[in-house]
Amino acid sequence: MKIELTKNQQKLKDELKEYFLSLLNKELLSEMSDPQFFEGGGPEFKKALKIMGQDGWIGLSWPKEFGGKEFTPIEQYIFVEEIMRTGFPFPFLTTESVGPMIAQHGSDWAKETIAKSILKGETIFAIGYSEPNAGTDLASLKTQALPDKEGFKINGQKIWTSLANYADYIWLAARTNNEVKKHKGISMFIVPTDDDGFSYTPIQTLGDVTTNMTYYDDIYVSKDNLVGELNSGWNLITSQLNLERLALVNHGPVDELYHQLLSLAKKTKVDSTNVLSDIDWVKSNFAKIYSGLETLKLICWKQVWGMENNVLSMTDASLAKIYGSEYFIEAYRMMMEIFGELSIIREDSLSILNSRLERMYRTASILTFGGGTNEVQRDIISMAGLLMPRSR
Amino acid sequence: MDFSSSSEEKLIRESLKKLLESFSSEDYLKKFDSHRYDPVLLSELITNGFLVDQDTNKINFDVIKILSEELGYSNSPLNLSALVSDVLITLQESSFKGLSEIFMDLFSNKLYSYTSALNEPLNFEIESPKVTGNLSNNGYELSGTKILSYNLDIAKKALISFITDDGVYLALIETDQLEITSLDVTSKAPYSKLNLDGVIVSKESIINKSGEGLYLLKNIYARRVLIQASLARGMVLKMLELTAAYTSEREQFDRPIGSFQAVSHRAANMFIDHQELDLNLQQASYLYSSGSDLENQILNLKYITGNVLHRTSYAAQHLHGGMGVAKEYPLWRYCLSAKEHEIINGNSSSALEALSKNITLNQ
Repeated sequence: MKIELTKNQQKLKDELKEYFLSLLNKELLSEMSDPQFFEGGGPEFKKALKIMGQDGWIGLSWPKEFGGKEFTPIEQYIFVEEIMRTGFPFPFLTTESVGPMIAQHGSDWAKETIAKSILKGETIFAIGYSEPNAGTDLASLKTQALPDKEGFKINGQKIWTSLANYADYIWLAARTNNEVKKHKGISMFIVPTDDDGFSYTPIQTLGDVTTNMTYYDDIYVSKDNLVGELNSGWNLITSQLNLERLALVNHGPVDELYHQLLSLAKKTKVDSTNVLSDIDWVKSNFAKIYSGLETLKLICWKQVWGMENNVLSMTDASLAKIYGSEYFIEAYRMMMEIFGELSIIREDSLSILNSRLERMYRTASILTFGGGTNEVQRDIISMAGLLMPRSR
Repeated sequence: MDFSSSSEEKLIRESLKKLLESFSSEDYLKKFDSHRYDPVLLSELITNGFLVDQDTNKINFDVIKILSEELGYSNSPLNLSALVSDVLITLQESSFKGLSEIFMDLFSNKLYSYTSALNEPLNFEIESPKVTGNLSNNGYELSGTKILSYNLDIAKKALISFITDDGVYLALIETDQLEITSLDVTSKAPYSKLNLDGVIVSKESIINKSGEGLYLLKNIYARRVLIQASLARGMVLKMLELTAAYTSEREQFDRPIGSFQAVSHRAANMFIDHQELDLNLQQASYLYSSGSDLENQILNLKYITGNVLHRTSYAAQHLHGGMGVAKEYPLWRYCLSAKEHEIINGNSSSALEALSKNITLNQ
């Protein structure tokens, strides 16, 4: 048992911290604080992504034969932690989920053109999974890809297609067989967003994050756009879920905020003699945040260690997803309590992080239902972890 | 990073499980329902070298933690914290000269002859004793009371703590002349009260040099929390297993109650709690064995241990319905022990307060 980063892992962490600091120039930081670019897509974001590609910081999880760094899960976690600390909207799903799948299972065209372009930081994907009637029960999706000439014709509708407003392609799950069990008739496609049959309408959300409804109207794609075997899409979707869920609950961003706010509370005067952190309930809130943060870090570390050593159990990812997403809500709430009404004031000398805490709180609830709702994760724990009967 | 157990640890755990099988049947445990102390089990553990390696006179604290986990899991009426962790390891740390005689006594008599008396009424921090010591002729005259001293009524010597103008001291004193009162506690653990008013402690019985007392007490507290969390880990795992098995079999409305999400989700929360305790225990154990600073992790572990014991015990009872409180079913014993360990050596709230002070210290 050795529960700490190795010297090399710590070195990587320090190196990444330094690198990201040099990447985040004034222009990029200013763009990142603009609500329309909270999810990336602005010119400075695109510029930074290309620099990261040139510097070899994209494709960490990819096998070396496909131009990746073949980082271990722990190293990948460190990368995600450090970049999330900066607030840069790094497109993880494109680079660490879709990219490696295309590099390994895509056609020659996809490998040569799309995968390489992702590695260069020049191509962004949006994920086309959920539909209005296929959320948690994703396998019941209805978007169709029917054989047409040498390729497929796609028709359907997707919802919550984040980044579709600036993405180059949609990583689309479509039904290609209606005669088999629902999860066995799904295939994955690369769908260009510049096709005439593609359109989207934005959906504004509570957390000021814009997502999209996307429409696919008679879009023709060649068989080169099919990734993996026909009707084998479900395996591709699920193979990356553990890493995706882990990226969602990385402890880095809250740890960063915790330290920022603690340092602020220690110097923010509440009267002539006392600072904010002298107040008993403020201390208590900080201790509760610290305690949860320690547990979340350990849960995530154990999960990446489990991945690295092939001992990851089904329940580990569910545990991390539940604990992390529910902790975030509580942590942001307690952080807001510490700074009280100042937490909701924007653009004023009294503002605390320009109301970022309040926005983080508003966006956090997405994680308790997104990426596999927590109720289903608890079902998984009771069935796979406790061997209890299937819930009905 | 490595979360795995070594093959040696696995071997120790397996042999302990095997040994404890014959000490944890329902009929056997019933014998201790009015006084939860099993001297035969202690003797067996000493004989098998689980407490102290008889060849080297060394105590492996990792083994003591595994042992405590298994004692918690089997709900055995034995706590090694006072004898091994408080007394023997502290004496080892302070280079106590008479330690080898104590080990010989332990190996030949196999009795709980040494204990500690460190807890005090309404004192939530054992590092800051309220019992005072005033300089007298050849030592200190004490004033104050200790409580919840484990097996003090049968021990020959007890490690006590007191505060003087010169800081904190620890002394190993004879018990035969002391005013000891057995306490009837709800968990039926063998605790006693010790009145120290007017007791003279000789300078020879003091085990620490001036200025080292606080350091030793901090280490004692850290080990107590690690042992308590280990006991809790075992207890929580057993309560979780009992709950999963019971709710998978018990049928209502023609189906197992565990197939209702209201039930399975509460059980899943118990699983998450167990993991929280387990991971924080592992981290604190690692920091302890590597000699790192772990004050905050220990306070956090104490905070989590109390919370998890409370939540698990309550949820397990609730999900069992009437069976959870019936004394013909084993859960009740775990619930009694859970409350004992939640509430002694400080508690979740006091640990959180101490942690919060450390974190917000303006340096």
